[in-house]
Amino acid sequence: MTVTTAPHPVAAPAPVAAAGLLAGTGATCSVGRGVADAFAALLDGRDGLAPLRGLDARRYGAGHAYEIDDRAGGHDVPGRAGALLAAAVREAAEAAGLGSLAGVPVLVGTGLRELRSLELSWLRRDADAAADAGGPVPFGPDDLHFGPVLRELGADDVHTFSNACSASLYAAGLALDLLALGHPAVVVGGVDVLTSSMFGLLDRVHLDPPERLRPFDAARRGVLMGEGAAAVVLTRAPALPPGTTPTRSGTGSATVLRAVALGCDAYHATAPDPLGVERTIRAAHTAAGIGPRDVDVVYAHGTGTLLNDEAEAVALTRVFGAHAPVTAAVKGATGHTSGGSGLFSLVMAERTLGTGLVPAVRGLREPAPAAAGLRLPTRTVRLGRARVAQVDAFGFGGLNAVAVLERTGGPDAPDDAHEVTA
Amino acid sequence: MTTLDTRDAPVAAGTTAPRAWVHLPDAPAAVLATAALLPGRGVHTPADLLDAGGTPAPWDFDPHALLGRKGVRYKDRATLLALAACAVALDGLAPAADATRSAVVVASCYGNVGTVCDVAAAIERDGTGAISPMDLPNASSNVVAAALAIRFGVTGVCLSVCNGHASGWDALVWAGRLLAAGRADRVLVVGVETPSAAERHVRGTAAAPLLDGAAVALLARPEGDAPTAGRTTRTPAPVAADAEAAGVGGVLDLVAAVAAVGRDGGAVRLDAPGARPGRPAAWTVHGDPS
Repeated sequence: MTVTTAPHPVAAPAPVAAAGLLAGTGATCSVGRGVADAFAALLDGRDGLAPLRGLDARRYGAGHAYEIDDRAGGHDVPGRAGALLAAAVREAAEAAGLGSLAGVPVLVGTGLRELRSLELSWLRRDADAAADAGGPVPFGPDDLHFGPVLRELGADDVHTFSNACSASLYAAGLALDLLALGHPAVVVGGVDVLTSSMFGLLDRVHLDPPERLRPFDAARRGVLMGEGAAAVVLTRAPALPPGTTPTRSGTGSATVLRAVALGCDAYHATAPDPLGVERTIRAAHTAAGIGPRDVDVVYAHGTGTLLNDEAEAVALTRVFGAHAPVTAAVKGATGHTSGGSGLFSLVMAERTLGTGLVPAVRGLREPAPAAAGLRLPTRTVRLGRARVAQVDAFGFGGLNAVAVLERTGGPDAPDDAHEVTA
Repeated sequence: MTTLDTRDAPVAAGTTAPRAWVHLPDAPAAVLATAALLPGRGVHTPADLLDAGGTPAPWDFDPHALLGRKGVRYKDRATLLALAACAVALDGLAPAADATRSAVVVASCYGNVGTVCDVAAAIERDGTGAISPMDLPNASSNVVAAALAIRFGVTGVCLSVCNGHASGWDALVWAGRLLAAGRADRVLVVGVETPSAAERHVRGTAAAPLLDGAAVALLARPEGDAPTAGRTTRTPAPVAADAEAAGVGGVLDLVAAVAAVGRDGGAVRLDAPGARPGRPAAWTVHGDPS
C-alpha cells in the first residue's frame, strides 16, 4: 500500500442517498418458481402449505410447513439454500441483462445461512447414522456463506449477512449505500430453507401448534416456516430532468427503490417493539421524500405470531391513521421465508406496482382488533393508484428494515386474467 | 451499565479523543476505543497483544465479574465474550448524541453453530420436548449483535457479517461504508468466536484451534483531518498466528495496531488476507501525529 504524504481529506459529508433502479428481479417460493409464477400464485390464492417433507414430522408438534418441493427421495439433502439463491440471482441477472457478476457486489441476506446442511452433516457424522439417512454430508467453513455457490455466476464480491428475518431487506439498504458510494450496479439476494433447530425452537414456544399461518388474524396461533429466495439487480437511478422518467427495457416505465430505512429496537431478543417499528417506517418515508398519504400499498411483514402482528399493526395504524393503504401479507401463502422474506415481498410489491393488483391475505378470516384499521384484502384488489409501495421486514433482536418503492411511468399491459374487486 | 448511546444521556454528548485513525477502504475512521479479551491466551487488554515474550497466564472467563448478574443467564459464550469486551471498551466513554446514528457490526462464523447442532441433535434423539425455548435467540446467527444493541442502546444499524474466515476484515469494511454513506456516525465493530465440537466438525480435527475470545473497536467519522504519513510504517507480527482467528481476525489486528501506535507512535500497516474487490491488501493505522 502506498502511504501518501498529502493531507488526507476530512471524511466527506455523507453522499446524497442514491436510489436504485430495479433492473431485474428473481423469486422462488413454495407456490411458484420465478417471479411471474410466484405472483400469479399469490393472485390465485394458492398456498404452499403441506406436511413436513425434509424434517421428520414425528419429532415436532407442528406437522406442516411451506417447503419448496425439490427433494425426490425420503431424505433431506444439503445445499438447498445455496441452490435456491443461485436460481433467484440468475433470474434477476438475466432479466437485467447482466452476463457475468464479476466485479458486481452481491449482498446476500439470510437468517439461517446453510445451517440445514450443517445439521445434516452433524447428524450424519457417524458412519452408521449416515448409512441410514442417505450418506455423509461434507461441510466446510466456506459452506457457511454463499460466496462459493454464486461463483458459478461469475460473482467474486459476495457478502453474506445473517440478519435474522429482516436480512434481505437490510441487504437492500446496504446496496443503496453502495450505489451512493459510486458502484454502478449491485445485486441483492435473500434466501432461507427450514432448519430443524429453528423449526423445532419455534415449535417449542407454541402452546398449540398452528395448522396454518394466518397474518393479522384474530385467531392466529403463530408462525410456520416456509422456504424461498429472492433477488434484485439495482442500478444507479440517474438524476433526471423534471418531467422525464427512467425507463426499463424501453417500456416507458420503471420501478425505483427510493430508500430503505434500517434500525434496531434495542429492546428484546425476540419480541418486537411497536415504537421501533414505527420509527423505522417514518424514517423510510422521510428518506424517500414521501408522506404516509403517498403510500398506495404496504407489503407487511405479517408473520402470524401474536406479538409481531400486533406490533406491526399498531405501528402501521399510528403512521397511517384513518388513511390506511391496502396492506398485503404474503406469508399466509408462502410461510415465513425468514431472511429471504423481505426481498421476496419487495419483488412481489414491484409486480403490484406494475399491474395494480394486490393479492388477498391468504389465511385471514377475521382481523385481530389491533389490525382493524388496516385494509387487508380478502380478494384480489386492483389499486386506483399504484405508484408507491412500502415493504416491511422485521427480525429477531428488533432488526427493522422498511423499503419504499416508486413506480415511474405507466403500468404494464393490463392483466385481465384475474377477477378483481375494488 | 456502560452505554454506547444512552437514551437518558444529555443531548450535548461529550467528544472522545481518538486513540488512532485507520484508513478503511471507503472512509477514514477515528478509533475511539478498543478492547480484546482472549482468556485462553492470557489477553485482558490490547496492550497484552504486544508482549510476545514471556508466557501469558490463561484466565477463566467469568461473565458475572465483567457484566454483573443481570442479562447473563441463558446467553451463549460468544455473546457473553462480546458483551464483556464491549463493556470494557465503552467504560467511561462519552455517549453519542443520537442512538439512531450508532451502529453495531459483528463478525462471527461459528458463534451459534454449537447451539444449532446441539438443538438439532436433541430433536433427532427426543423431539422438541427435549430442547429449551431459551435457546431460540441463541440459534439465530445474529444473537450477538442483537444482544449488544440491547445492552448498549444502539438503535441504528445492527449488522451480522457471516462471510467466511475474513468476516472480521469485512466487518471493518462495512463499518467504513456505514460511515461513508452516512448511515451511522459511530460503529461498534466486534469480532467474536468460541470453539465447539460442531465448529471442529466443520473445520476438521487437523485444523489449528479456533481462537476463543472477542475483539472490539469503536469507530467514528473523524472530526478533523485524519493523519496520513506517520514517522514509520511498519508491519506488526500477526496476532495469534498459531490459531484460526476466523471472525475475530481483522478486528483483533486493528486493536493490536492501535495499541502499537499508542505505545510507539508512527503508523502500522495491516495486511488483510486475500485481497478482493472492495477490500485492499493493506490498510494503515496512524497514531496521534502530535
